[in-house]
Amino acid sequence: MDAGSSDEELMMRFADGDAAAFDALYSRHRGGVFRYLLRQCQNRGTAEELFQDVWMNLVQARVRYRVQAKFATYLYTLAHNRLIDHFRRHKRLHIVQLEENDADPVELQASPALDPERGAQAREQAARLLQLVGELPDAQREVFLLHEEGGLTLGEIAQVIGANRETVKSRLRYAMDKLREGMKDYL
Amino acid sequence: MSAASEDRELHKVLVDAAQLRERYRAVSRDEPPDVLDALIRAAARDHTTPHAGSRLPPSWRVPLSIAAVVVVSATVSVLVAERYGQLRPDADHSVSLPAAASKDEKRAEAAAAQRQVPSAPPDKSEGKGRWRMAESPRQATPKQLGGAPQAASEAFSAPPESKPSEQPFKTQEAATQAPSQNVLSSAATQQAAPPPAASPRAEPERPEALRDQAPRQESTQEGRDRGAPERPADLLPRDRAAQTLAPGAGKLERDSTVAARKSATGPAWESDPEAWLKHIDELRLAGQRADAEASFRAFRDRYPAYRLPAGFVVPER
Repeated sequence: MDAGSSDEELMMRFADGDAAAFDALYSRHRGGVFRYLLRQCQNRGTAEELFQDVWMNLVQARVRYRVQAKFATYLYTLAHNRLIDHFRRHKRLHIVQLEENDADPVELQASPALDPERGAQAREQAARLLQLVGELPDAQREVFLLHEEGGLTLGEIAQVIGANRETVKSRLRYAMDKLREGMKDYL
Repeated sequence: MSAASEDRELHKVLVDAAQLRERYRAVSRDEPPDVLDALIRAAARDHTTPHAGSRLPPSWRVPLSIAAVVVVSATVSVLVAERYGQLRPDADHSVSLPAAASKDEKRAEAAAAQRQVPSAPPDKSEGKGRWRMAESPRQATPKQLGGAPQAASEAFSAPPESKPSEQPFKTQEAATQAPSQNVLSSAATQQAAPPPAASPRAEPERPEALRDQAPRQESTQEGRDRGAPERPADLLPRDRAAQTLAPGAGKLERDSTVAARKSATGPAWESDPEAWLKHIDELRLAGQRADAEASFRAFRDRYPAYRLPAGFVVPER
């Protein structure tokens, strides 16, 4: 029953007191939200703390929820705002002020020497990819993560971060180019 | 560059990065810990489950709260009142009575030795009053009560009309009067010490039990006709004086005297010492010496420190 329901329906049922609807909703989005926060703050403990805050905010705000957009947009907006609060407290205000940084592509460093063993190579590729994502500019990384982890469209990402759609598209394109360039030896 | 061409360019970038994206999804598998999952699910469940307190309709909450406060307050008040009423008399008894009894015993013995007055028939009403005062064995001894030994023994024995089976009831009755009796007892403790130079203010606090003895001492030692200063309490009849002695004893004394008056209403002149003495003198002159003597003893019981007029002749057999 919950599997066929949309996120919005589940959220409305949860607002009416259906705890099972929340479980279904949580199961769908828990991984994406957690990875979004983890990749952004790059600290597991902090990510867990922010993750809990996001879902608790959702629980407490359930009665005010209105279906005005896709639920994922609403959820990632909560996560984005919580992340901004966290960065502001830790003097990282530049996450929303990186418009000018979009034109400055990050010069990818040369790939480290490959391990002759294939298993170790696969792990190294994974580590390299995650490293590249972490090295993306914050704004580009955020757009990339919202696109890949949240499955949001350009318009939804624009809505979450409060930027226009073209900016989001530009950031996403730059992010993809950097990742592909950094992983060209592995692909 | 138009928006459509930009979207096509983005689409081409994404397609080109399809292998990269697939690789990323394969690599990025971080999950929140199970503990955190359980915590968040439990919090959501807790918010959706109504609490026991919220099952009540909101309109019932305030009245129920007020009712609960009233019930608790009333219960506490009753318990405190009961506890206060039970503990205070016991505490006073335990502290003041033994000392008062021991001092009064010594003083009563000395008074009895000095007086050497034959026992007078106790006033019936007074006997009852005394008996009520001495209902508690701890409160007074026969010697403490002073006066004639017969009166003292009467004070500790049940009245003639009473039966042994009534004793528990009277003891219980005495317990209810314990607070006022304790005032007397504590006053007796204070007055048991040799009194300083007669102080008109201190003397009225003298308890009834001591007034039987000490004023007689004065009257016998200093002489009744020597013009010793009269004290306000001594000038009063016993029941009235007792009311002025200790406010706490007033109720007890009133109870005893009212009961006594109901059972034996004395003549009107008993309330006036001068009229009483005149009556005694008339009896003596009429040849009724025994009556005159008995009446004079009763007079002395009632007004132990009253200074007799100069021309008054004490009736003797």
